[in-house]
Amino acid sequence: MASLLKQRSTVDAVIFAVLLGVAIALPFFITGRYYLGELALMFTWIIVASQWNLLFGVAGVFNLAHMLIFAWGGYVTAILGVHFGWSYWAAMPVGAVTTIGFALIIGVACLRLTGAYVALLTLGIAEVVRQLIITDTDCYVMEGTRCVQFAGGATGLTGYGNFGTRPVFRGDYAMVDYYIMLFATVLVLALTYFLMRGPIGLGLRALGSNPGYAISRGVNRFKFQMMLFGISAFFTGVAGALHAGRIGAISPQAMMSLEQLLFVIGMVVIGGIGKFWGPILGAVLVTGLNEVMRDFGDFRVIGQGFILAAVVVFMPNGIVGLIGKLAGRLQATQQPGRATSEAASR
Amino acid sequence: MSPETVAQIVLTGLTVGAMYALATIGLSLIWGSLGMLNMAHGVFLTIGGYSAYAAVSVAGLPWPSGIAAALLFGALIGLLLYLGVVRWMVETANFETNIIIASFGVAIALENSVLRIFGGQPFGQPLVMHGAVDVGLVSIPYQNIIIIIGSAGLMVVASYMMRQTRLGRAIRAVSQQRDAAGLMGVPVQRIFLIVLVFSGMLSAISGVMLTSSTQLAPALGQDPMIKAFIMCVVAGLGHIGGAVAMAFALAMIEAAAQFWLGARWGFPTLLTLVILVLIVRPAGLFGRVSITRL
Repeated sequence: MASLLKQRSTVDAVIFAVLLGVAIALPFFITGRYYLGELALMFTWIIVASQWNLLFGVAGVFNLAHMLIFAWGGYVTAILGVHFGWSYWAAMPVGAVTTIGFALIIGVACLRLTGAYVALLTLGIAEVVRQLIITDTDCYVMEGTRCVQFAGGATGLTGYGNFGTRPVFRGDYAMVDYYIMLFATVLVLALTYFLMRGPIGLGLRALGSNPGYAISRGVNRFKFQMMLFGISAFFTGVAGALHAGRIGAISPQAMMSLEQLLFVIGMVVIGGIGKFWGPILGAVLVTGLNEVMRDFGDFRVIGQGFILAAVVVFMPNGIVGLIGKLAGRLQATQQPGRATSEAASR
Repeated sequence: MSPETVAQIVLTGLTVGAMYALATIGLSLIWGSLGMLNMAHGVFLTIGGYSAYAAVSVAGLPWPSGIAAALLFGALIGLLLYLGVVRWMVETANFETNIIIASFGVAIALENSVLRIFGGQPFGQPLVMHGAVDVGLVSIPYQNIIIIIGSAGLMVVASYMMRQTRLGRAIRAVSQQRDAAGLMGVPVQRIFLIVLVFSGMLSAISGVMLTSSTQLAPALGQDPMIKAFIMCVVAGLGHIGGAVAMAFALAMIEAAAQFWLGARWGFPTLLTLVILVLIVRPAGLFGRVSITRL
């Protein structure tokens, strides 16, 4: 068993290294600012999707307020910049850290609920906050003749600064932004990996698959669930704050609409729910698909919706699940008896 | 607080409550009988509203055809959801969570199809009754009376079917223990089909009534759907009568909160209240905590 575990982490490390190498080398082949921006956006979605996977795939918490948590990181950063004059890099950590507190409140509200109740309540919370921001008409400050609400109203906020890479690196700023996002993504993914494979991940998995039994064996649900909400929210908040800084503008539509939530859930489902590589592969595929389908207009969203439904129906374990199954079958032909555990764990 | 204010709040609460109740019935039916949270419920409402519009305003048919069209397309969309998605997933593991994601995908796709066909600009619902009746302190539009009576009627139809008919008994059996019901000869797959089609029809009629006092827009179902979720959750998922009662009670509270705190704060007040209720009673007010063997 121990050697099996060792082998699995070696395989993961090799995949990680290869992907990292490709990611580092990419800007030498793709130099267009638009595509570098799209790739940096893909990294943002990788972080967000991997954290939703942690919540739902590992711990079974059906959190539909995930985009709200993502938006919180960006919004706090932007509000501190616009209304209080903070520089971006000073505001960004505050945006990320305050996300934890906000998520813990949601976590407490959902603590005693399970399954669909969590989904409905978090969806309600996300919708309430979104509507409060969109319907806000009280001007916090006036910029010339333009009324700027505290949270930017339906249009969002801009003018709070950005990464600050443009004046320094001039034409190459898109590449630098790309590497900043890559660095953050690698860091978050590495931490997420150890979290999922470590004792915390084990406890979360136990609570996700059979809460009653896990609790009876001494897994502290309160502690684990709060930890889960805190950690996943922090990383998601970092992604939100970085996204706000890279783009330089935030809006309710781009950060917390239902379509965006579907987009992220789609990544996790298509990649493989509950698997470490699932959301990563899913994010790459879905952003790629999104890019290919850009010319299709409305049909793009229609297609994405149906694709998501079809994947859930016919491939509920996602692509990574399918690969694991095939690999398991392949091994079964070579080494009988070992295949089942390998297929089940990956 | 003047009597006029109270009367106005009660009237608003009644009308809005009836609309929430309308939105809740179809959802509660599917949840209660199939354990399936239908995220496409909002689109059911939307399609009901638009099919009535298409039949009456676009095709120029007489008004009863609007209702017929809504029923037809409601049934059709329920049938398609069954054939395309539910049928394949009933027997699979994690049905309860996976179906949320699958129906969510279908919902987004259908909503954008409506946007594609009819465009984003809002339309007026042709099936409207104009005029109002004065009752002492306030005047009540006929349309509101129709909505209140209509929601009560649909609720009676749904509860009668669930409690009194052979079909209802089969549905309740499937909801309690799907495997056992199957072993006793209940055709589980056919029950799923019937409930989805029936819920599609109920929701489509709800959609027609909902849009008669607001407007038709592709995203019109989203807001009532989220409100309906809240009603179902606080009542205890699947409790049709409880959900309808909650719809009226919470709508009154929302109307009062809107009056005193401003229109924006109605829904937040409502949700805060719901969260507090759920912390004390995680299975909702009427829901029973089911004790299952681990």
